[in-house]
Amino acid sequence: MQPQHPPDADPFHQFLGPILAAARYQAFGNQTGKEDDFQSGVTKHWRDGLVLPWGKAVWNDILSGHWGLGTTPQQFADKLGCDPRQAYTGKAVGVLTTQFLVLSLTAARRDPSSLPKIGPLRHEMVRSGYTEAVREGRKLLAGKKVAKTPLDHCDYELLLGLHKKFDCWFAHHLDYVETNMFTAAYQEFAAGLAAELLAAPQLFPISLGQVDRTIALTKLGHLAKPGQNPASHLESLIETWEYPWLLTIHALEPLREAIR
Amino acid sequence: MNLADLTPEDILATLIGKPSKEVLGKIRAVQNTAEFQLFLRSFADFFQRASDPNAIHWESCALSGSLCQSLDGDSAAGPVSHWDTARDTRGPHFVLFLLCRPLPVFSGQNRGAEQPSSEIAAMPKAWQLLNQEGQEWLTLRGPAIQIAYGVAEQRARIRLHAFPVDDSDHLRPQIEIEPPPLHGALTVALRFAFSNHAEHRVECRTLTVATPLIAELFLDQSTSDLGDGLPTAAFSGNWSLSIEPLLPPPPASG
Repeated sequence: MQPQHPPDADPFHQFLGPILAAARYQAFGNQTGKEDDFQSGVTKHWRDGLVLPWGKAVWNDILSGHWGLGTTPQQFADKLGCDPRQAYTGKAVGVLTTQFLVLSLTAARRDPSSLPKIGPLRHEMVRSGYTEAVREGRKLLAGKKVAKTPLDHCDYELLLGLHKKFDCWFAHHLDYVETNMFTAAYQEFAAGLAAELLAAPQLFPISLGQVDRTIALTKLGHLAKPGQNPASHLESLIETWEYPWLLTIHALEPLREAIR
Repeated sequence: MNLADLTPEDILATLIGKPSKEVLGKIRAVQNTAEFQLFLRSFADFFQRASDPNAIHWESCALSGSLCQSLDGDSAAGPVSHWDTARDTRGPHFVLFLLCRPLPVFSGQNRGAEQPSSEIAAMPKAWQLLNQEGQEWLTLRGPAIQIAYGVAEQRARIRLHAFPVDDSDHLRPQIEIEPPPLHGALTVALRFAFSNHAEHRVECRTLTVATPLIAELFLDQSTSDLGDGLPTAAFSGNWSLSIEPLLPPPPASG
């Protein structure tokens, strides 16, 4: 006998399933190949993005001087006889090949156990994985058009924060949709959200890199200031990212255990 | 107007874009219902639980709080406040939504009970609880499991039994768990969601599986006490079951 599917009585299963199905149908129609491409594309970018913060932390550690391999990418390249551009890119973005890692450990006579720990970087890694995956997801959904707006760390946190107060946001959103005007309460809500994130500097740690950190904090500071239009920014984020995000999360469901 | 009058496309259009006036009207009509608020919570959790490592666990979705609300009939408190209260005071929830596969009747199940009505007699009396993937071995987590089993995560098999109540068409639930909790008693809340005379109902029964008295002689399974009777509809037709391990009550002061 087939097991009964119990969740009919609860709204979560009753509604989210059909909504996901509707979103998938809008995006892919009946073309399973298109959906498979989407899934493999976002999964690859998720994997690539996930490791970048750790790669950055390793590069920062290597170039801290403790390894005896210099303190700049140029010094590092001179010592190991490699292309300095690879070291520059690695330090800036976090790309770290196994070859570079093993070469550095061997040259510095260090043990892999001395490498930076993943635990403190977990949030950053998940964020990095998702931002890369969702960006790719949007690009794939838009066809050949490249997404003009990047989903940066600040916007990612704003979207997560918005979903934590989703019911509240939704009420403001409906008012906006109905009148095409942002209410003062909506502006207050959006500015409050930015201020909350600004007050949580652990979300944007030093390890993020000076440039990304400054961009995120400056943007939040701007949105939290009175007289700005933070509600418009939230609406634009939702309009741009909610749909690809929904489909990307769905595509990454099989990796949920790994993400946690 | 209720949530069922909205199509998935209506909801999608409202959440990610600009809906038509007609759709907006429909949404406005249900906006403040507990059911819709619950749906919004669930939708938001879908985003958070996957992309935020600090978010609550997949199984511990918003339904826990909302079902408590339905049980208490506490509509005045509103779903949001109830949800927050439930989450804040009881730590991270672990709620497992289960499938139920009827099992052959166990011998001795009806011993001592009066002859049940024909409707009850025709029903299964025991179910193997399965996770959403259809597996018997369920992974239980959470602080209550830590107390009962001494580990943060325990794989267990759970069966649900239903015992007829004398002179009534009600059934009393009992669970059987393998392996038994050896570190402390395990209390779980079983939530039955079902339709009774076209009315959606949620009933909760709290059952406790005691620690075996002599640990060395424990059996492979332990059974809980019997819960209060539930209508037969709770075990048949379109019914659903979730299970939530509960923390033991704090020791009485003094």
